[in-house]
Amino acid sequence: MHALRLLIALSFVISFSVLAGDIQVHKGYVRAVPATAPVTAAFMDIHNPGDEARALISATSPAAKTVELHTHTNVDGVMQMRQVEKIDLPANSTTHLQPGGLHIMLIGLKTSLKMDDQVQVNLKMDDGSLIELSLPVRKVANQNMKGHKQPMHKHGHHH
Amino acid sequence: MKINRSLLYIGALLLLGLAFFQIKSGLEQPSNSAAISKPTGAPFTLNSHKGKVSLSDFEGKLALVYFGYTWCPDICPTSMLFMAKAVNYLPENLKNQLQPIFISVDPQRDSPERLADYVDFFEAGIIGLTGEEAYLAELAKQYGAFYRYVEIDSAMGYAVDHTSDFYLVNSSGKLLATLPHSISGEELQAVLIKALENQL
Repeated sequence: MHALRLLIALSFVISFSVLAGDIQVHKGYVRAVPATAPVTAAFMDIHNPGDEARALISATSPAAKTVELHTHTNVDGVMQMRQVEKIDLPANSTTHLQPGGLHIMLIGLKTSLKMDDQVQVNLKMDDGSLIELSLPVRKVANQNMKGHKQPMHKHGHHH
Repeated sequence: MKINRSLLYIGALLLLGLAFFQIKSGLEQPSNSAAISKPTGAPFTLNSHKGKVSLSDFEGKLALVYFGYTWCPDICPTSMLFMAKAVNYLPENLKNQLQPIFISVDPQRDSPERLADYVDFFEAGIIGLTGEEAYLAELAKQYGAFYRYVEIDSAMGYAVDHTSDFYLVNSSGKLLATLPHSISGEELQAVLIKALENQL
């Protein structure tokens, strides 16, 4: 009886962690910044295919002293950047972390990041699960600048 | 009865005084708002890693000016890339007629040396300048730029809320155009080409 109960409990844990693994990250990259720049940002699309709302609650990276979740708002033309407690990931949708909005802020870069370097960024989700990412460093073009496309890479190069 | 009457007088006097004060302050308002006139631009002299740089050094050229700070992880680099592209895609004969300038409004953290490295990264001949806080505040106002230091709950310490427009000025500091953050690449280029061709 005890064994059965344990089995049931265990199966819950397993199915839960499988659900947690369903969060998918696409198109992730870290913005290339000048060598002396103390900060940069990571951007990505986070897809939550589940029926339950989730949240990204924190992030870490060996490349930076501190990693924070930030957002930008444009209030009458004044750009305001603030730290946020979490980034909500509504059910069945993709949340875009992109220039001018939500981003993962890397503060106090330990080394200068060069183009196409890989940067490890770990995302901690609200259920305690961890998503480990290796993101390429990219120079980001303004999307307004039509006709001058940046080369597109779907995945980072692996060295 | 006598006391009551004098109280009435005092009351009436007070009301009259109050009304007069309100009319007066109401009349002052239009002249106040007239003082905050349209930004006109202004000449300036600021510090680069190579020493003083004045707008008047660029005689015969136009300058594209942006106010920002290097601790800005997103908006400023995006604007700088945008600026770099706009400059680099100009026709060859016009390219050297335009001087792109990044002015840091965060002199506490942005030394001229740091700024030089910062702007070099964007490979568009942008020069990085900064100066005294009070001077920068006055300059920004003359250009119609707004910024403020904000203590935020972050390892950054403080952030700088700021407008993210581009200012096209001639070497005497006359503001020719304010190009909003949301402008498209084509629009920015069209304005630059038009302004540069009239200038030549």
